[in-house]
Amino acid sequence: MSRVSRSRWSRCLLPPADAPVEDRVYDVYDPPLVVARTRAIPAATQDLVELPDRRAYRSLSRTGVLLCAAGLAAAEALGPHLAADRYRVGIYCAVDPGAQNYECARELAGRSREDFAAVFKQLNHPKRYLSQLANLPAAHLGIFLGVRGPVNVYCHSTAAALHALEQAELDLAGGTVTAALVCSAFSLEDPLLALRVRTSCPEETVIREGAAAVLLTVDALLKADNRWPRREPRPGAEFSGIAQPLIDFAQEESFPC
Amino acid sequence: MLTDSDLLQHVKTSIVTALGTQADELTPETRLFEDLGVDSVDLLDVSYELERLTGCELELAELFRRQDAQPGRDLTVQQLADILKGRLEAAEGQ
Repeated sequence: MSRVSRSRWSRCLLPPADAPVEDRVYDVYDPPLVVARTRAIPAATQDLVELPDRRAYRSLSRTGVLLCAAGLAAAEALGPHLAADRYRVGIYCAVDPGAQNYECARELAGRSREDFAAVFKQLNHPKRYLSQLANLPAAHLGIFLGVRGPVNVYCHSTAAALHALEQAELDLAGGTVTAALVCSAFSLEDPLLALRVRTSCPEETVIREGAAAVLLTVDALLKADNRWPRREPRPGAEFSGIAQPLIDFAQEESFPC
Repeated sequence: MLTDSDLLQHVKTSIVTALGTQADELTPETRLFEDLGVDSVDLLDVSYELERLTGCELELAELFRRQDAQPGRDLTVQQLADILKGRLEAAEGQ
């Protein structure tokens, strides 16, 4: 579909320029799984952003906290739209499910059926499962920002960010919302997810943690052929998995990241 | 046998771990629902951490029955430690 919206605000969270490119070793595997050429944001998950409710860290993966970090930065830009009608502001996210508990899987390997429940319980706190849900970071973000409109989450490994942008466009064009906050995030927390992105990219591409948020509002003056960007990973470039299309979009608009 | 002071410290540690609360914000009189905004899943999480620390499983149904029997009265950090003490003593007596 054609674009009807314009970006009013955007934010990217990416590793600083001096963050090293390094092979990431996941030692939950034996032998350890190595994902080559990665670049992480050098901050512990709880230091990525100060969440309004500290209880939320326990039920969010690193990806989820990154998503909230990008989205929460939109609070000021969203203010007038929320003040006008908070039920006509929507959130549209592209995010992978949270990391699985691979330490638990390793501990359970070879255990008897009798031990299974006890060991599983010991290694999984009650909110662990919540951190694996893809829709929870968006729900938290909506609660933190006071958004009461639609909250959509897309998980397709390559097209999710475009799905999120297109649904935001549909809702803006149809008048369901007057402002759409589109967010995406990718982290290196889950080894299999990192491996999947690694194997989908050219060898020289650096796999990079990142998040982006874009605030869209209706702009009927845009040209009808102005479509969303869609690119494949490029050799020598950096690639942030599911979040890359939104990062590209945020960087192409005239707002500094 | 854990002392009263140990039990109180375990309750505080569990709350800090499960809720992300700052340790210096907690006193024996801190109310779980009113002051900390605890909900049922949070209480489950706190009791999980307590079980890891003490080996004693708290009956959540018992905690909620207690709240139902005393509507409007909150559960404090000290009261949670007392409930834990009662459970530990009962377990030792068996």
